[in-house]
Amino acid sequence: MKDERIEIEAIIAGQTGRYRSFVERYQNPVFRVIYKIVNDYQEAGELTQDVFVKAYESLNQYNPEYKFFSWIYRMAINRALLHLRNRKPYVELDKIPLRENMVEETAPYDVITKKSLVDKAVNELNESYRMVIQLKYYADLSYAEMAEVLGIPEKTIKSRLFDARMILKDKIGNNLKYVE
Amino acid sequence: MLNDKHIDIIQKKVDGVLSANEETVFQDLINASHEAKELYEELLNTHRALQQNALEIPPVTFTADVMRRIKGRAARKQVFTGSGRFYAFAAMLVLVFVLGILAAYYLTAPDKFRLSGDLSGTMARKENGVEIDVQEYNRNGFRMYLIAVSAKDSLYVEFSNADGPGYLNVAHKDGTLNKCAGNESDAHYVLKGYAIFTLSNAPAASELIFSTKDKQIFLFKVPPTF
Repeated sequence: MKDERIEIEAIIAGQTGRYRSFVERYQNPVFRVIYKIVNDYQEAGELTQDVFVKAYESLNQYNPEYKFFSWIYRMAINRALLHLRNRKPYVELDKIPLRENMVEETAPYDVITKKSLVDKAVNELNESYRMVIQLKYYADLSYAEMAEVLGIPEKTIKSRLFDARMILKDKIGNNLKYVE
Repeated sequence: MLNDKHIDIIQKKVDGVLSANEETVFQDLINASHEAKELYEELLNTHRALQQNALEIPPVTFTADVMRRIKGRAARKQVFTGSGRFYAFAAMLVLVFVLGILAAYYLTAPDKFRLSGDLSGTMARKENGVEIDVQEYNRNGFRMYLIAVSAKDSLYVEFSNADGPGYLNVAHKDGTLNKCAGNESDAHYVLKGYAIFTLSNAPAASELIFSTKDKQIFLFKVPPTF
């Protein structure tokens, strides 16, 4: 963390090139967290880049007491949620079912895969559980890092992680028989 | 009966962060308790499903793009200070003019549906705070309609047809489609805000009616005359 602080001070002082190491270090966890919210690879890529540019421009507001990831993670979540709120429904012509390949009434047209089952189960978690799952699996953080990002004790992180896994165990386990 | 300490050890094992001493405690625990062994296996399966889910997201490399954008912004900041300010302003005026012409060209054919294809007709209706845009497409010999609707207040959408099946679907923000409630010859939907409907293979004389609480706003009859 001390290293990050020194790096950031150097960047603010004008050594822009040193920001490269922050982008390299955190782009994948930030991207994965955003992707899991917006569920669109291209949009997630654009949003990730926006977040890093915005973070660079706001570096003087960064509090060096916390890890850089804690700060940019919050920024990423907010940006992704804002994007989702402003997104309008859209249609892709190829996805519109024709008469001969319609499925039975009221069924959603998505094919259930293990991936969609896990995604759905994670998205249905309440926010405090969803966040620990996102940080654990998509940002690949340790208990201590998660505690720092969310500003809660490590013990609470472990207990939320356990509860979230138990909920997911039921949701995923009970529906695996329907998966292709 | 498992206590918090047991659960902590099991979870740490799942996450692969047990110390050597804790590893011994864990082994003793699952050898002694069937409940502990079962919980460990269930948590491990869930953990693996989540891990696999995360691994399916391919890694990205945006470093060069981000650094280019940052340097571009820094360069723009320099242009907009000192003597460059006047030239920058003039260049901006030219750019705005060119973009205005381009925007006018593209906005005359709004791309509300984010798609291209065999477009064979369009129509629009605006009344009482309701805006409706219809596009007709021919795909593989089937005719389908995409209907974008924006309504300030609740709008009742009703599909009726007495002669064979037709399908009214509503699109969601993630691009998925769901069939509107009802059956093949009679479906309905209530919306407020913005929605896109698709109507596939509606037979002749099918009707799609848009109405507010006390007034019919638009009657879309198949086949429409564009």
